[in-house]
Amino acid sequence: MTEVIKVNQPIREINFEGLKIGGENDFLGSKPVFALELNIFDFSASSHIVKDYFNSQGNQSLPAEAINLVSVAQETPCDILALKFNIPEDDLEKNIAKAKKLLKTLLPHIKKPLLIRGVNNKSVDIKLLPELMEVLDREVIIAFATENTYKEIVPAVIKGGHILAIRTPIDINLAKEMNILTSDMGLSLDKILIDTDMGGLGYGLEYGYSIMERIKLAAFEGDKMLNMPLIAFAGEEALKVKEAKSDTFSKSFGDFKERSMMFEITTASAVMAAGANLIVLEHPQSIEAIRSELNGKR
Amino acid sequence: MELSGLQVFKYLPAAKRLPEGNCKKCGFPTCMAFALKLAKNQTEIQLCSYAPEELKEIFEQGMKKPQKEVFLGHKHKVLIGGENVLFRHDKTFVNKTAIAVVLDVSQVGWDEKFKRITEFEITRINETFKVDLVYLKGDVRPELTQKLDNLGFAYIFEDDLKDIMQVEDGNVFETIQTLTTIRKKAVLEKDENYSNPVMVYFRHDENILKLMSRAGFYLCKYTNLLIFEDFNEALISTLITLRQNIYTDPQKPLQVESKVYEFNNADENSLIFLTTNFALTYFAVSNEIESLNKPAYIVVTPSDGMSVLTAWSAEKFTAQIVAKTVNQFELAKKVKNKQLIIPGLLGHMKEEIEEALPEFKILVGPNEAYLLGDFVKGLTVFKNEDTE
Ligand code: B12
Ligand code: SF4
Repeated sequence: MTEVIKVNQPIREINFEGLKIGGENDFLGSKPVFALELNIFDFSASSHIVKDYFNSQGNQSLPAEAINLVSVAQETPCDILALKFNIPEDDLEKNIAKAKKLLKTLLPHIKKPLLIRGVNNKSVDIKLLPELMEVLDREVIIAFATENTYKEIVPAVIKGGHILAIRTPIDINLAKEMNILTSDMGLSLDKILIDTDMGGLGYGLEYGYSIMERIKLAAFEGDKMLNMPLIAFAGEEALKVKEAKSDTFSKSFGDFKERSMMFEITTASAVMAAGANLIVLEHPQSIEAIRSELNGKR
Repeated sequence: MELSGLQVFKYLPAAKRLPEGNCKKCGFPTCMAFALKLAKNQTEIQLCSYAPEELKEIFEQGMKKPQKEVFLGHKHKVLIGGENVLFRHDKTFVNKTAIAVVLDVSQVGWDEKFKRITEFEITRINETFKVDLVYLKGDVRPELTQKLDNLGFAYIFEDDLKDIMQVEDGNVFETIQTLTTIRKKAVLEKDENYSNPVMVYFRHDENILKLMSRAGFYLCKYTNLLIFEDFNEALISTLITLRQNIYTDPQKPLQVESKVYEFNNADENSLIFLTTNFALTYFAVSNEIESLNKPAYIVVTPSDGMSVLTAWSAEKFTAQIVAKTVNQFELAKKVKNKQLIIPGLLGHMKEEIEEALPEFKILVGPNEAYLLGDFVKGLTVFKNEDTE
């Protein structure tokens, strides 16, 4: 039987470059914030709908091209601009230097609050993320540290005064443990975003969904090591699934492009219902569709 | 609120040292015995005439159903409501949110819409879905309802919705708060004023993406019925996918049996694929293999219903488990084509598996099942002469 939930502890509120992330004391007590993510190092890795929107295949990652992508992205209604430095794993030194230079070139052009993201590969991220942080001239969100990378990443985050997303694989105990371990290293509990990891719509979404709800409930019930805002990389996961990538489906699955958009939007709606505070998406129109519904009157 | 036996006992005469205590009139030897049975719902509170009002109220409250179940439809019916938790991880959600589409026969082009609605059908993880309900409007002729009956569709008219509570599709934030309040009243307080299933009716919306964002949201929290004036295949198929996720029982991941599955008249020259017994994983792979139109085997490991990487992390997909499964089904005897295609995500296991299964050559497949078509195009039959 469901017990009556005593709501007594709010989610921590992160004030980031004028944005308020979290702070609610019940599900949907605060509106989520949206980040638009760009594969800035190699745009060709983006989804077909994203390439269409930016009218680019991204075959070359020239700085001019990157500056253009950033300026188009900033015209869209996102709160945060997220840059994924999707560098290849080989020739690491050279590619990190290139990524660093690219970030330096882009910084003066970036007016929106910024999120910087690595590639989710241990050997790359432990080098790439600290190096990128060296070039930064402002507070940003760093994504992400894991059980395997936090020791190398956290010191640079503390030094730069940044906010850190910490990813654990759909496991509430591990999420809590990582918050304890990183705060023991000196990272403020008010500078942590919990990334529960998640699967895309139709491919394991329900596991991430339930872990988010469970973390929120634990937070509302008073757990001080779990009441950080939740970040969800909904766009990446949604656009990775077959329905959003392949047009070999029957007529009943609907128009390919429309369906791809809908997979991203619906994944976002679901994590929002589960309590996500910062939702990272890849298509500007997905953000627009959800945002206008949250803010507008009907 | 649920009480333990001891908590129930505290209300009864013996605990309060009243003269009626342990009078046996209830048919039990002591108040305590009665209390223990009552806590397990194995007897009725009415049997003790000395039980205080307070206790009676607690039990009457407990007997109430959180949310009513309602059948919708005429010849064919769909069951909605009956939900008794707020969060799927508390237990599971029970009756899937029904998806209804409006068919207004007074509108031009309704017959075209009828065709699209009734032809709509998708299959995901071995479950086949259609539109659950057709909401008929206008001057409906018996031939139409007859046709729907014959096609196996449930339909409703406006009058059929009188037991459903309608929440307006207004400002998203307000709507979601109303929906949440209703579900909380129903589940936590068992308030009868809120025990009817809940629906949202979506009027025609020029912007189908905005409509999608609201529909997905309301499906999660908390509707039993969604009615659409618009019919858009992408929207309905996406929504059904979400519903399948949210309504999966979290206690038991969908699994398939661990064994060797045969496709397209598998023979000794067939391709052999390896995967886990997580239903999602298995069907992602088997759907592709089926459409290859080439004879093939899929070897499914006993991996507690875990996805490829999850199983690997949990040590439910080791070289030993693979070898054991392949040997158990005596695959080496069945095939001449001794090459085993493993999931691309586990490419690093190639050597280990080759060691554990020396008769076979291990091929690393693509990371994703839908790339299998291109992958198999270049394959040739491989015969391991040494072992024949
Ligand atoms: C949902 C999920 C879970 C669920 C379990 C779901 C389940 N039933 O398996 C839960 C929450 C229980 C879970 C637990 C854990 N998880 Co987990 N989980 C996921 C998640 C989010 C999605 C997995 C999924 O369902 N994918 C969908 C299925 C269909 O994918 P798939 O099986 O890989 O199949 C595809 C392909 O591989 C391919 N394919 C499949 N078979 C074949 C065969 C051939 C021949 C070919 C060519 C292709 C092919 O086709 C399919 C479709 O394209 C992933 C992260 C992610 N976003 O992917 C992490 C992930 C798999 N989990 C991970 C981990 C570490 C764990 C835990 C160990 C965490 C912990 N410390 O507790 C536990 C282990 C389980 C345990 N001990 O109980 C890691 C694995 C890391 C790694 N090995 O690299 C991942 C990748 C997350 C991460 N980034 O760290 N997890
Ligand atoms: S009837 Fe009531 S008072 Fe008498 S033994 Fe049973 S429970 Fe106790």
